[in-house]
Amino acid sequence: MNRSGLVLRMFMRERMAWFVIPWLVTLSSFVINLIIGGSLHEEQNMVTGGLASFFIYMFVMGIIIVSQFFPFALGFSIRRTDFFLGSTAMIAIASAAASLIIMLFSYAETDLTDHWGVQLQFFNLPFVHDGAWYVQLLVHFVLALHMFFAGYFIGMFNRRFRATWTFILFIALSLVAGIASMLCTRFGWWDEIGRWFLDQTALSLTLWSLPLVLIYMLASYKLTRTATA
Amino acid sequence: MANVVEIRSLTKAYGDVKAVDNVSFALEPNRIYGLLGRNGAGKTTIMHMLSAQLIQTSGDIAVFGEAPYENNRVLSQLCFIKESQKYPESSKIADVLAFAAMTFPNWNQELADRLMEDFRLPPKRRIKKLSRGMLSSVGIVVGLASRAPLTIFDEPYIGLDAVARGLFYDRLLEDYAEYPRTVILSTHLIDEVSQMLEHVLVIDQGRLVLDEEAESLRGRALTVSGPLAKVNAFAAGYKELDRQGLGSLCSATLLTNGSPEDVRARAELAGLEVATVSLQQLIVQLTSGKMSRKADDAR
Repeated sequence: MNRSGLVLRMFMRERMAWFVIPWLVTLSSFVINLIIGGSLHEEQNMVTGGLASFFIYMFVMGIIIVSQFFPFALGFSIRRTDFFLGSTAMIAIASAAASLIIMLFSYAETDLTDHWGVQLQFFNLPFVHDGAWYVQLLVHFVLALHMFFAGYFIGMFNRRFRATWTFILFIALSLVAGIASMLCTRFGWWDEIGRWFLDQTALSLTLWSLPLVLIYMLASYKLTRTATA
Repeated sequence: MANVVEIRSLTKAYGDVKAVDNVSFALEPNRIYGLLGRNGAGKTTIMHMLSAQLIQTSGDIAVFGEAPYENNRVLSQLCFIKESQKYPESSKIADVLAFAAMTFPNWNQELADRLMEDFRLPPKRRIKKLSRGMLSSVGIVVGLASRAPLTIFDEPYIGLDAVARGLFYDRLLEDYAEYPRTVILSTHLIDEVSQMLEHVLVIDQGRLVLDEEAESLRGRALTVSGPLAKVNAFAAGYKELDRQGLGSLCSATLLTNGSPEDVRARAELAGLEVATVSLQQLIVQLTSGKMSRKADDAR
C-alpha cells in the first residue's frame, strides 16, 4: 500500500479547510469591494488587492500542515518521506484548484459581467492577467505553490529548530535584506533593478521565481526527514 | 521466534545530559511488558526512538529485525499510543479513526466500534471539544483496534477514572488472549497493572536498572523485620534496597536470589518476620534510592 496516498486522503477529509474556508474569506472581501464599488461612481476601474487574502490563507495552511498534521501522522506510524510526498500532492491539488477557480472568476469578471457592473477589478488584475489563459493558470499555480511551501518551510524550521532559531532566522533574513538594500542605494542599483522589473511580464517573473519554490521544497524535504514529533 | 525488539547501547543525549544512557534489552513476541520508572527517567524517550519519532544519538535499534527509521515494513506493524499525541484540532473522532483504519493493516473496525461504545465516545465530536479523559480514550481505542504486532501504550489513561481504566485492562486482556501481540505498557499506576505484566523493565535516570520476569520478581523481593542483629545477619548475603529502623528493631527490604520458598523458610527459621513486597513498592525503592547515591557521587 502506498502510504503517501494515505496522507493525501487524510488531508482530503478536511475539505472545508482546503476548498471552502479560503473562498469564504476571499468572497467576503469580494462582497465588501462590490459594495464599495457600487457606492462610488468612478470613471476608472477600481483595482483591489483583495485576492491577496486568498494567498495569505495558503501560507497559513502551509504552517498548519506542519503544526497540526505532521505530529498526528508521525504518531500514527507514517514515514516522514510519505508525509512530505502526501503534503506535496495535496498542495499541488489545492494550488491547481485555486488557479482554475481564479481563472473562471476572472473570465466572469471581464467577459460575462463587465466588471460586475460596478467597474470592479478583483479577480482580473492588470499585469497579472495580461497573458493568455494558460499563462494566467501557471502564474497563479506557481504563486500558490510558493505560498504553501513558504508556510510549510517556516513551520518545519520551527519544529526542527524551535522558537529561538526561528527568531534568529527571521533576524538573519531581515539583516540580509537590509544590507542588500543598503548596497543597492550605495551603488545606485535601484534604477537598474526597477527597469529590470518593468521589463518583466507576469510569466517571466513566475519563471524567475520557480527556482525559489524548488529551494523551499528541497529545504522542506530535508527538514521533514529529521523532524521529530 | 525472533525477538520483536532488540536494542543495543541505546543512547540519547541532549548536550551533556543523557536522557537515555547505554540501554540494551530485547523483547520477545506476544508478551506484555511493563516499562516502569519515575517521571523523566527516559521511558518516553526510549519509546519515541523505538517508533522512530526521535532519532538516537548512538546505539542500535532493531524492530522486527530492521531499523525503524523511515521503514514502512516496521512502522506499519507498530502502534504507539502516547499521552502527548497531537490530533488536528478541527478533526472529528471519526476522522482520526478513519485514518487509523487506513494506516494499521490489522485494524479491526468491529472492535473499534465496540470500544467507541464502551468508552462512550461521540464519533462526530471535534478533537478540540474533547476532555482530557475522552482524548485518552481515543488513543486507547486506536491502540487496541489497531491490533499492531507491537503495541506501545505510554501513560494511556491520563484523565480516566478507575472504571474506564478497568475497562481498558479488561479489553486489552480479552483481545490479547484472542490476538496475541507484543505490548509495552508504561505507567505510574503499577499496582493496577502488576498482575497483567509478564516482564518488567525499570528505567532510572536514563539507565536500565531491572530487566526481569514479573513472576520471579514477585517472589524475590521481600521485607524482613526483627531485631537489628538478626536482620543484619540475614541481609548480609543479599542486595538491600531499603531499611527502616526503630530502636533495636529494624526492617529491611531485600532483593534475594535463589528459590523464594527457601529464602522465606530460612528467614522465618532465623526468627524474622517476612512480608512480601508489591511490585509498586519494589519499583519505588529501586528508583528512589538512586537519588541519594547520585548525591554521594557528586560529593
